[in-house]
Amino acid sequence: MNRPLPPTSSEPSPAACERPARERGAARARASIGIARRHANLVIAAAGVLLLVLMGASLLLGRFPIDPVHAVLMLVDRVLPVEQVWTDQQATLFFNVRLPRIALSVIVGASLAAAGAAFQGTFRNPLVSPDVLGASQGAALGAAVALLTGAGAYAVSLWAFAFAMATVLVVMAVSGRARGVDHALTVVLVGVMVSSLCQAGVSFAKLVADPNDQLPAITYWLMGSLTSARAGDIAFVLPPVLLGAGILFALRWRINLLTMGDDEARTMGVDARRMRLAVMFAATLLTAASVSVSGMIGWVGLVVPHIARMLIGCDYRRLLPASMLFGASFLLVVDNVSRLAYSAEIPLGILTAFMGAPFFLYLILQRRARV
Amino acid sequence: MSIEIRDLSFSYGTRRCGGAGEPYDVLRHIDLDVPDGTLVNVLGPNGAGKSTLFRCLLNLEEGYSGSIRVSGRDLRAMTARERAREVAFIPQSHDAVYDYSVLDMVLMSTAPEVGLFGTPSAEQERRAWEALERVGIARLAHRPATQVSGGEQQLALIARALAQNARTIIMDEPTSALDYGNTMRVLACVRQLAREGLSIVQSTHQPDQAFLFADTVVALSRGRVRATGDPKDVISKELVEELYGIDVSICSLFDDRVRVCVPASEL
Repeated sequence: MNRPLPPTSSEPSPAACERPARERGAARARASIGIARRHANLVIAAAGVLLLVLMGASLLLGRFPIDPVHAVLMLVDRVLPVEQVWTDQQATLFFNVRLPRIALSVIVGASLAAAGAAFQGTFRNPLVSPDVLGASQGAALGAAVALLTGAGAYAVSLWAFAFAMATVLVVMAVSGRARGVDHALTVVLVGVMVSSLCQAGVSFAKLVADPNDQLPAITYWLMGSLTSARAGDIAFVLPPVLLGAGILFALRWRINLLTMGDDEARTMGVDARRMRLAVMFAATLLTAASVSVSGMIGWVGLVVPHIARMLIGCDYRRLLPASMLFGASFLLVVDNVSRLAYSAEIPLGILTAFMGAPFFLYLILQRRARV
Repeated sequence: MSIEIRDLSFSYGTRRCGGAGEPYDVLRHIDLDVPDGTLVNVLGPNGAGKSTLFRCLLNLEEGYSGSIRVSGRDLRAMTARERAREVAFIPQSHDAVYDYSVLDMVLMSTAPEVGLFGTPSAEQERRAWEALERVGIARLAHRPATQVSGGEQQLALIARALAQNARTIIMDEPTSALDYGNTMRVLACVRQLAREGLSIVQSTHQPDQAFLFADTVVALSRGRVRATGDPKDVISKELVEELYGIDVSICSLFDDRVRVCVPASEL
């Protein structure tokens, strides 16, 4: 053969992997990443501003409108006494009803969205919602039992919270015993089973409930509402919410690695199983606390992380804060509709489903196989 | 020595689906050394135990007997973080659920250096870019990792392994889903990395690829090491027959710089 010989294997190959002179297009990629990050930060900042505006507007809206100047003065008065130009009735309404309700819808919305985003990451499944581990069903059972015994509002919240946490701990413990198989899948399956047990319990509670007062109370609780929000509720939800959000926020970058699957995460130095347990625990704190004061509010935790992902991408460093801000705004708007649209309040669960389900159908049609 | 394996045996026991019978030994008494800066090809038919061997090397399976030492330290005595600093893994393919950008995906492998509650710093980011430039796909850094071609995805995974800064890289059939051009480009890149001092253990189905690129071949059959050594010494007509059940002629080209297998039935 007279053709030139191919290079021997001791010579470096010309094809790829030469120490490259700066690759063309790399600068463009760099710029484009910079733009994407700035864009994401901008969206987050805008979402923050939007939330503040919505909160301000919500304070003034209601069946008894409050003058913006009065609202500001009332707030200032708390720190620095000013001359009272408002009625005592207005102040009571403002501080005891409207402010707690707005604060609570912000907290609950942010918590459910953060929990949803976290669960969707750990289970590598964008269709997962915060109730995947049975937190909501457990809370429902706890609330139903409490309502059967004729407990007061705070006791109902307490029972709901305790049952929600207990349900998820049972799910974690049971799935922890199944070793050597796909951990995430096992947890989800056990969660589905335990949820349906709780659901059966709720059905039974409804069956034996007094149809005149207990049954409507249970039914109404299951539809979710912030009607009875009081300042005490905030004190009740804040500790678990802060703890859960703190854990998630601390682990925000590492949640990314869990979406790569357990094996890949482990080869990159992350103990996937332990990480998942930590994230699950934190997200459950958020879910349980929210559900225990607001009742069952679906869809927020499922849909909001999707919207956030579409707008700013899937890096949890930004996805988590963005989801929380969007979730807070979303639930605040929904709650405003709930209290203003109709002479009787429309339960939140109904409204979120009315908005969430069509949106999700739209997503599925848009992205087909990927959802 | 980057990896030393002594008397490694492993069985999945009866826990696997349909494994109601007696335990089946997937790996039997394997001894293997991987020196620094070599490209080792593990050759063997489906079910020979290649993937299981890799899972043991990555400590994804812990129930093995025998010992695996990485840079002189026992693998099981190391923490996940320490292991990740020594050994990086490149899976067969990347099935991401979410659309991370190529850069974000590469950045993930810096996790062993990032504190538990931390996020990657500018230094880690710089290394991710360096790794992307190294394999020549920095121009794709902003693209979703799920939307680049199969070959580019493998290169991105290689970049991810490089950014992990480990001295050993384990690759499970990195080219099984790639076309001819991408296969050659990826393998040339891998060999170049070995030349620069990384130890690379790679599984393959293709004896021809081992002839072209490997420094050392390990032939695995039914969980046992059948032969180890230079590809030209190890890959013989008999070995290919034993591993794959195909009768081949081994042809020597270009003054024996290259060898290829040709099935006897086609001659």
